[in-house]
Amino acid sequence: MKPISIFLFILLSFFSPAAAKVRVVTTLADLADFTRQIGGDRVQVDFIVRGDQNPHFVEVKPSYMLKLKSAEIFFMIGMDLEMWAPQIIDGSRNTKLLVVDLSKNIRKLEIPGRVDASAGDVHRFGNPHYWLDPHNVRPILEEMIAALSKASPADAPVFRANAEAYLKKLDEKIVAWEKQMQPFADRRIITFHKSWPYFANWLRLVVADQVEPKPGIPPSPSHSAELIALVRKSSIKAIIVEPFYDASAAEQIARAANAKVIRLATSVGGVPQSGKDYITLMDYNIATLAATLR
Amino acid sequence: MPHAQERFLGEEGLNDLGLSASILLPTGGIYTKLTVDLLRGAAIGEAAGMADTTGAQPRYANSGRLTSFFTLTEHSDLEVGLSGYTGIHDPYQRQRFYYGNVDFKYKYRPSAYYSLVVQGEYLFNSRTAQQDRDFNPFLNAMGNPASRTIHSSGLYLYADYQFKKIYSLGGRYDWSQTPYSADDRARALAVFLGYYPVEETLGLRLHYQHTKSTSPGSAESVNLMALQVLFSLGPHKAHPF
Repeated sequence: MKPISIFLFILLSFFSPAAAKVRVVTTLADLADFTRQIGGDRVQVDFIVRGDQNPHFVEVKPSYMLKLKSAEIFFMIGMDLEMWAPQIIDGSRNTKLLVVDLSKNIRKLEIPGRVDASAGDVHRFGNPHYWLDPHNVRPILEEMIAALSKASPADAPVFRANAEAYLKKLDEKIVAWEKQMQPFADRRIITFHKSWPYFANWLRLVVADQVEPKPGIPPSPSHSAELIALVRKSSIKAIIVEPFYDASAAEQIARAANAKVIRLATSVGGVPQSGKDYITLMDYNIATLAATLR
Repeated sequence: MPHAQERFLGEEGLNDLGLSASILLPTGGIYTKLTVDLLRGAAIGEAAGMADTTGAQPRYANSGRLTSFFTLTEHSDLEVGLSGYTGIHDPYQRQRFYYGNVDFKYKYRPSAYYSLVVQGEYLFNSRTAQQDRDFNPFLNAMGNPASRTIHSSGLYLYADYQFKKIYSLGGRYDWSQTPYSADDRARALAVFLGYYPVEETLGLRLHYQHTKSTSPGSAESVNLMALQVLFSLGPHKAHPF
């Protein structure tokens, strides 16, 4: 091959559409993991909220706008979890950005009858923490496949095959997790925030109350006293606190009522042991909770 | 509000109507935004007590701002800005002012419970004005009111340290001249303690400020103690940097 032909081949390969990766940004690290599982080397993924950050409250930084400026797809949980997202989307000035709300086909829990400030930080479309029930991963992935296939139609079969392989692996894990938690069905737990209704519903756990008297409202002494009485009366063993909340009120309740505070991660990377992927996150959460309830 | 902003821009800061356009500049991994504004132009004159009662001629003002945002580490960011602003401050003599401004804001936030914000700003003013704009203007050889050129400036440096989720401690140093005199000066030192029991929807801030103002032939000191109650209603808004 002549040098000029080699040069042209390299040049054409460089600009070939097939080599271009779909650029995706997600709000949560969990969604970035799902995108990687589906897209493999056909996607370039970045995310905004670290696992140890509260996804409700994220500072709108210009650097996030810059991430979206060069992205083709933006995956978000929706249901008003990411109240900060519209500002980042607007600030990116990216008119071609495909914004995908992944909650479209989720069976939603805790949809409030009425919404006003007296109820605290309620989400008007229902509780948005649906990714913590692994059965909801399939509808999430279906939305992702559709969006990725739209961005790169030639890769659609690859996205579908990757997703099915991942879901098969996940289904096996779901069976194992359910078996691990089966002895604790109908057990009562306390959570700090209303992050766990989907998780508890899936594992047939009963969330007896929250350390926050209302979503987003810090614990008060009178509510803590009520919780101490409840924990003692119901012999509750576990108080779940997300990594980004102050555990001091929960620790106080646990000490007074002989319970244990455990840090479970709501997102990938929330605690060091929760790893860099969703399956490791759930492995950690299930193992930690089971060890406490035993 | 810092003295420099209050004295040069008015008690509520720059507050004018107009058109604004902005563009993100192609500066790679650094977020850089250029904003230009065409404003009605009455705000600065009105802030200095020069309300236009004639309404005879428009006195549009123009401003521009260039900001760059740098992500320093996973938990710290820096924003720097450069601004310019020009317009007519005296509607009767059609006299113009020019403001130049540099500012920065650094934020270190390793978690929701700890943060440090340091920010500062320097503003430079240049304007032409009558020798004495309020009483008996001096006349030049042509019989017109004599003009003079004024250069003055102001600056502040502010820091706020959030040491628990609901507590913060901060301070601010102010130094400022006035738009019409480099001899009228104010220097202030303020400290404040913040208590935010319900995140940003309710806050109490105890503020103490000592201000020393000097002008030719006079000087005065003012001690101010204030308890500010800050509250907001409605759903959670996004938190800006």
